[in-house]
Amino acid sequence: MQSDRKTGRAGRARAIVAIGLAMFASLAWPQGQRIPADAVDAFHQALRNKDTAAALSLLDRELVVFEFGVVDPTAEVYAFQHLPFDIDAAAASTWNIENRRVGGEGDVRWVLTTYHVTGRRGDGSPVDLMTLETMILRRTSGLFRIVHMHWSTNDAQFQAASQRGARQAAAPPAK
Amino acid sequence: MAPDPTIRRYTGAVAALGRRDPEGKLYTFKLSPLGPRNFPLSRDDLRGWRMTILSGRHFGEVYWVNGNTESEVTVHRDNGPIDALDVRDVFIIESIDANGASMFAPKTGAGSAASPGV
Repeated sequence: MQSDRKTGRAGRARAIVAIGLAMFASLAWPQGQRIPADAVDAFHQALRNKDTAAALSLLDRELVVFEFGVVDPTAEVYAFQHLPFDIDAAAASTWNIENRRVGGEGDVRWVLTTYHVTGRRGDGSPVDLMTLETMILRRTSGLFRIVHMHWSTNDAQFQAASQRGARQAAAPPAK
Repeated sequence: MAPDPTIRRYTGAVAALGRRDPEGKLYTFKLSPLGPRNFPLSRDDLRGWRMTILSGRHFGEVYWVNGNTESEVTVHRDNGPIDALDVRDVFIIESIDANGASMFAPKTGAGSAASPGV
């Protein structure tokens, strides 16, 4: 009887550990990828998942972003100023890959992608545009991370609105 | 794009480090609001929210807010201390719970949580 109770307790403990590990695994974030295009896709997935840390883990610390005519000169500035906007935009839109080319060699690669983006603006009007994305990735410790990204669009109105939004954003952290 | 109305955010900078615990570990800091995404804090407004550090040696690390006052945040011990935190480090605190769900998302049914990103 005593033994059964102990066995039951041990079984429950094992189950709890297993559930805990499964939960941890589901929350574990990517930290770079072995294939450059996978790193790009993982970054977009992190945005869609509203997973700030996962998105940051795919960025090289020397990141420079050119986003719709605005420059984020460091990973910190991008993380502070524009990553929340990109997370919101990703959650409110669908990005379908239209075309992708990859290239480069060694530890530096590029991934060029065009996306058909659909969704809704804040005023409810539809978004239907093409977004052009250049990603440059650098491999460190065997994993590729994004060291430069450049987004632009064929929609002049959206591009202008993005620039206005960026100017209204806070000043970057002084550090 | 339309901002997600279910996610609230608070961005700020570390104004001062808090008192370390008896083991010398740091879990508390004083904050100052920074940027457009913040609001006057009341006690425990941010309790359970996700904090991601956006600069310094804890860059990209995630903690969960255990409690706050008008000017101070304490993180949950489960994710370890913030010993390497520095004054002027910046952070974002988002209303996303430990399961990755938006805390202000409309409930879709008993016991169900909104899937993030959907």
